[in-house]
Amino acid sequence: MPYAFAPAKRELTRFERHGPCECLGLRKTALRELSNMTSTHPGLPSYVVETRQRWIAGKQIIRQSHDAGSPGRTTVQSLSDLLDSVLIGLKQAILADLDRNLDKQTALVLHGGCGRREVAPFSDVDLLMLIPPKLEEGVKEYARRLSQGINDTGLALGFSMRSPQEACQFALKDPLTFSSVTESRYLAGSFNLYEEFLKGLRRVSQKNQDNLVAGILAARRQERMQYGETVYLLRPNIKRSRGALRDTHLIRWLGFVRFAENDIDQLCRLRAITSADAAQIHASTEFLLRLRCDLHFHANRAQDQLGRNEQVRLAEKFGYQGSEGVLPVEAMMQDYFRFTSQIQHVCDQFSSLSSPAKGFAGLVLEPLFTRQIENTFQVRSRSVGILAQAMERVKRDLSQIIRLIELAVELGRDIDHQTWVAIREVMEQARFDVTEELAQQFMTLLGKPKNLAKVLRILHEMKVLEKIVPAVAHARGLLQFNEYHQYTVDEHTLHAIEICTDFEKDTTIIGETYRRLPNKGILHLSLLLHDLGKGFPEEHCEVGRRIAIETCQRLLLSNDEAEAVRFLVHNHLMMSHLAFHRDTGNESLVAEFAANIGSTELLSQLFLLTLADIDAVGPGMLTPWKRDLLTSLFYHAREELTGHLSTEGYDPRFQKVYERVIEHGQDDAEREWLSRVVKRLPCNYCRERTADDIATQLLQLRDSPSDAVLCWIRPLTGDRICELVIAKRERIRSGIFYKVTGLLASMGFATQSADIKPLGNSLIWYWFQFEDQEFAKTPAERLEEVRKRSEEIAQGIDKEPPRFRKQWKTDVSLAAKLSRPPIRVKIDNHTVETATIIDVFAYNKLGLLYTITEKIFELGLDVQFARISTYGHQVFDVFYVTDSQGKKINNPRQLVQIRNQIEQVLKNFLEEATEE
Amino acid sequence: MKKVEAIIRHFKLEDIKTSLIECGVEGMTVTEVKGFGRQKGHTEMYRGNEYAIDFIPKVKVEVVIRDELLRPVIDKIIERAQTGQIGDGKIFVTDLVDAVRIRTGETGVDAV
Repeated sequence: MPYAFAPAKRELTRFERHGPCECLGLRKTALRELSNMTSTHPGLPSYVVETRQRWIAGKQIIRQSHDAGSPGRTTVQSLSDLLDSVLIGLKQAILADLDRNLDKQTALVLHGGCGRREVAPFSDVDLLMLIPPKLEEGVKEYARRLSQGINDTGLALGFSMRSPQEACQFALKDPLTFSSVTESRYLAGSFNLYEEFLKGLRRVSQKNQDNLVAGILAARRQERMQYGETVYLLRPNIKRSRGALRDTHLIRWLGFVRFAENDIDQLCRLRAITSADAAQIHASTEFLLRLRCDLHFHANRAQDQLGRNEQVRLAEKFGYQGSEGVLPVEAMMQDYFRFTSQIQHVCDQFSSLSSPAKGFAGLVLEPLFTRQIENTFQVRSRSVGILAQAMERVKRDLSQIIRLIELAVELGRDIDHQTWVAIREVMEQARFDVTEELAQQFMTLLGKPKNLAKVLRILHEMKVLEKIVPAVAHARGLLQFNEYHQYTVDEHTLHAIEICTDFEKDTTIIGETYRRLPNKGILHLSLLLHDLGKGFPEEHCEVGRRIAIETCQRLLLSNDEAEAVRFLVHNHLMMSHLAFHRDTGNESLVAEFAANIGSTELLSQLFLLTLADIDAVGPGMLTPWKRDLLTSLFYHAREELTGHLSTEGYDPRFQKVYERVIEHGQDDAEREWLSRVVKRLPCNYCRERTADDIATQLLQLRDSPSDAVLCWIRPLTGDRICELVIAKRERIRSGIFYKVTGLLASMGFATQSADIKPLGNSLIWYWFQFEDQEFAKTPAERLEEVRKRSEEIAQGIDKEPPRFRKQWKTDVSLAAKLSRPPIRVKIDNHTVETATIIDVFAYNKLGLLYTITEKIFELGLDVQFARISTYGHQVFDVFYVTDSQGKKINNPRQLVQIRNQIEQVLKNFLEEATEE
Repeated sequence: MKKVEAIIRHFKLEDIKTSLIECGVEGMTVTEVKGFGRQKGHTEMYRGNEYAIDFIPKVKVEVVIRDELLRPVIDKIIERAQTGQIGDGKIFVTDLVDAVRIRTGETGVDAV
């Protein structure tokens, strides 16, 4: 490839022609004033003092021009011109004292930022003195005085003295040096020497292209690791962070190696980058240069860190106004992130294009590795793109674009640059409607954890995501100007999804909860939306709630799904607030929290969302301390929602109890029977009783006639709680459960829990725990009456419906009515495999439980377990039900019917109560 | 000068912060900590069920005060942090040799 790099002899700068005073419009009196301002240095040669004054005066003038609004590019070039003139003045003064011929024997070459003519107010001076192979004594003295003079002038100097050959060899060994000298610019001295160096540099560069590119990329990667791998840092380094000035330099260095050209416009002419990319780089560089110059001027030193105070100052200085809900500083940083994202993208594409190919074989065989998919996409060895003939059609088809990105992520390839640019252009202009097919495709995508975060990130970078969820556009690069968050809203959101999908591999309760979640799409969508309400005057959860409603309508979600998303987005801070600021050991608080959520599925989603949200705030934010508190609240609330039924069936923790019960068997047959039956008893029952008690009851049951009903009752120690056990062989459903709850309510007892377990051979075990509402210590005769009437119910003798006592009611005020918890019935079919859980939330009234359980019986359902909780007015009942065959209900229609009918009977019952 | 370290229930922090400021405390350091005391931290009872917890999450509040504030500060912490249940926490008091405000170089009580 012919080199287009043709250095011309440089022309004199304006500073050299006219001097700084004339050039910068500085009056000579001003120069004298400046001279007085600077301290005198008796030890310094007069030419150094003069050079120093020229540098300071010139910089002062340039600063005035910068403050008056001159472009960043103009400022750095003016500083470069000033530096050139200062260095040449210094050189001439030194050579006047030595031998003027030394100028012809050496060449002064500026490299790095000075070579590029991008000199910031406190940039280092990178100067290379090219010398002939045979070094003369006079050259050494010249170099010594020059470097000392530059240092004494107050400039930070990086100085080297090498022959052209040495300079090339040294550059070849070190990528950092090589990248710096690719930006070389002739300043003074022997032009032949400079040309010799440049030719040598081109030669070694061309011969070692792959190694040099790999070295440059590795060095930049290492720098990025130190200064930030993401564009969206809240305190970026304006030179070295991702997407910052260094990435524009990287394009130039790689351009020099691959195309023998480092000028962006020249690279554009060579078609190494597109004109649109070149324009973006120019615009972004201009923005960054202006910021950088101001940072240097204001700090009065080399300051490249864009800290929070500087952000606020610069936003004000550059006249950012902000808007409602967006501070001026946030608006400025939105610009910063926009510009640096553009640089990052062009830089990534160019780096990928410049990366070492897989050798000659790779180049030759590339066509063999290229294949077409669905007559639409072209898969190459490194990228996936849209075929030229399909471009017009596909770039306007969101569905196909999602497919393209999924394909690229799945195959581990980049999106082809042309395709990227074409899609971005369309996304900037066109409006899109979300079709049913697209909505479905997007929700399917959200439902799959694998690669989800990567796909969403690319969709966001290509501006496709905001066509599906319009609220994303507002969050792009939106700074959260507080001490808490470390990323912008969009970066935080994508990071949260990344963390959440990684729960798939977690081995703790977090991973288990995530893996068991049936509809992960709802959780991921909620994470995507949870902070989109930021940047508005109103509270962000409230704005988020409206965004959630609009988005769910747009994505055609069902009512239940939309309700879940709305709840999660609106209440995404609820769990962390409770866990970190409230006593999570407080039962009624946990119950209220659980009642607010209403289902274990939603609870699991809120738990995972909260964890991911906190973790995505920044590294180390989700401490074990916070995770433990959240997990503890999750366990407690889950127990409320599942009625404290922590295990299903056999529990190995009770192995010793089982063994002691089995020992009571007289022979093998009896022991075998006990072994089978005891493991089916409710776990909580085994915890409450001694092994002897359990064995006695079971053996009594074994030996009883087939139509016998056994009934035990006893007060439990410590309070007013009593327990009732009924054991009976049932061939047909008898409704014992609802009838006994009715009996207990009619006698002034509040049922707390009930376990119903089939022990085999149609033997059913009912275990009730209830509280006496009328006596502090339940009299024995009262207990006996309960036992006797329960036995009659079980035997089918007592068929009378319960009669509840009339209670005196005062008028219920409107305030009391409004403060009542809402009546809700939720079906949970994913928490346990053996039963469907019905959660009922209502306010209390005598006979309420009987009404619910009677309805459950009428619906043909068997209750396996029930937990009844009352907290003040709030009633929170949990029922595990199966069909009459003992199977979980899986028919979605039937589930809806069950929910509606129970809700209806509850409303009728409670509304009657209100009218009383 | 005294340094007071209080290990408290995490949800009592806001209350304690407010009342210490009212008392005249001008600064405090708060750390999320985990540990156990006499309750051994091994189990927690919740509605009759036991849960294994190795260390219980607490908050550590550290304040440095003039000697005369010691009594009111301790009284306030007890008043706000006490529930009467196991796990209310502990207060530790130490004599402080010196303090330095880094920005100005002031020392002793002036630096607090």
